[in-house]
Amino acid sequence: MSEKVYLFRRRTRALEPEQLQALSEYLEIEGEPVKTDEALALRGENRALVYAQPCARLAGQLFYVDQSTAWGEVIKKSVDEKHALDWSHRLIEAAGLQPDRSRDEDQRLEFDLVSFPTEGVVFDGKERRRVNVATNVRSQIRLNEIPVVGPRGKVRMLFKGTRTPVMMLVGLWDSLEVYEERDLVSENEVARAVQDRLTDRKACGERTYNLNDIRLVYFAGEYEGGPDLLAPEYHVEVEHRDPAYRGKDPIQGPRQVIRLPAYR
Amino acid sequence: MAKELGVEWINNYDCLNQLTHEHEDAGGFYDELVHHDGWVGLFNWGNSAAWEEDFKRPSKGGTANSWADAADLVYFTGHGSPWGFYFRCDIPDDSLVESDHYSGPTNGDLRLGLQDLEWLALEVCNTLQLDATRSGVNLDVFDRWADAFQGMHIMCSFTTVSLDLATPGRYFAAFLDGRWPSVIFGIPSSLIGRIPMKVIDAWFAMASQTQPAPYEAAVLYANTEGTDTHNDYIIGHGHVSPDPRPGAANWFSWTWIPHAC
Repeated sequence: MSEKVYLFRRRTRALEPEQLQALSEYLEIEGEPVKTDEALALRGENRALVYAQPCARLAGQLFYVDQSTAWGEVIKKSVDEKHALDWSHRLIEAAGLQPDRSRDEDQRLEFDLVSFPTEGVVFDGKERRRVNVATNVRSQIRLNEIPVVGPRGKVRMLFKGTRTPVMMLVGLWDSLEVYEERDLVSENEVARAVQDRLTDRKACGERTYNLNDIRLVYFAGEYEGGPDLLAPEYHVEVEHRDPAYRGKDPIQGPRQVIRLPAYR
Repeated sequence: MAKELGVEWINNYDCLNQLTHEHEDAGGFYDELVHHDGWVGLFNWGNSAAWEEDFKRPSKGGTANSWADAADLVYFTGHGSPWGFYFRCDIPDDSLVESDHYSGPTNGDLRLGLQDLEWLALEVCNTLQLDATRSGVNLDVFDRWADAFQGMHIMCSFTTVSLDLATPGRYFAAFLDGRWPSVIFGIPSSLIGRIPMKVIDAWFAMASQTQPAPYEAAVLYANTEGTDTHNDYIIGHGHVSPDPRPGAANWFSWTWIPHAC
């Protein structure tokens, strides 16, 4: 018997201008909110904060940028990871953007934030030197043990040397409800489908690629009309043989991610 | 000052698997800057019209001086690997714009900025992967791409795979010219104006807006005495550093910065 998987309908919060104004104090932006049917926005001198309202392409996403510091600049010290994590938790809570943890057994949601440093490398023609670049905060979201990824299924914060981030993207939902229960396509079937798609008649059955990875995810992409669904899909990473390479030792070839629906 | 851009894209590969959205991806980039920001579109070549020799240095028989290095800003989307980015196999000159150490230590195709190019965006997989191994030897991103910088400021790409999507080009361009509140969020420019972003920041913002975890974008930029390319905006929207010319001062450096999507 096939394993089952749920498709969820997502509900997104509508934010009021006063709520955006309250958030702007956390981010130290001065300005009056602009309101349209699609979004709320607030703009300061070097900073801007935007929230996409329900039914917009990025419905439910809060996005902030600060252009007073170059994001690619090497810095002596970025903020510590604990500060970045605590600040991010406080902001999401203050904004009321945490996803609802339903008591429904059909949706077991795990939501965590982690912080980690990012290092760059500088090369002066002689030596490579690791350098501080930023402190990052990233979400780890799993729904019924399946990772949720995509621009409307993540939290990303980028901190440089100051206590507020230079970039913030919070793409979450208010609540989910089961839309449909469907059969889950197995990994074996997905591997076969990829093989069918990549079979090369000219190479006479010779396989010119390797299947590197198969990931089952809920992909929270842009809203495209109709019910706002969170649906499972497979991301299959394949690596092709480099058609230009004439050497004997194998080298890394061009890779590609093929997206396939995970339900029928 | 004329500001000129070019794009090349390939969906219809003959020696690699097809891609789907590259015409929309590169086309979105081209349309946004040409139609909304006053850029001159020098070229928009796709599939069989996109030629590898457009990026190859003249000393190897290429025509980069007439194409990639004749523009200020170039965007390519198609297949990539740590060793370069790929074209069809039936076009001039060959199917790969190769890095150094691919077919020889100094046989790389890219030597850019000798003429005009400041910014090269490669919306492809793995090109700026930090490490890559060949015959048991690690050849890092500097071994492979440092000599490409002959005045070029910044190269933008990915260290990992990335999804084949329609939106990255348009979004990157909108972050660059400041129309992103309108293009991405639907707020009329008349209400909020333009909010242009630095080239590196725009690339990272685009990557976070379009690509899922655990993928990773990256930039590689060059600097020397008197330059600060990491602060570059595109022409017309803020500071643009002088060109970092190798040998112009007693130091030169390349900086590689990753960004988790």
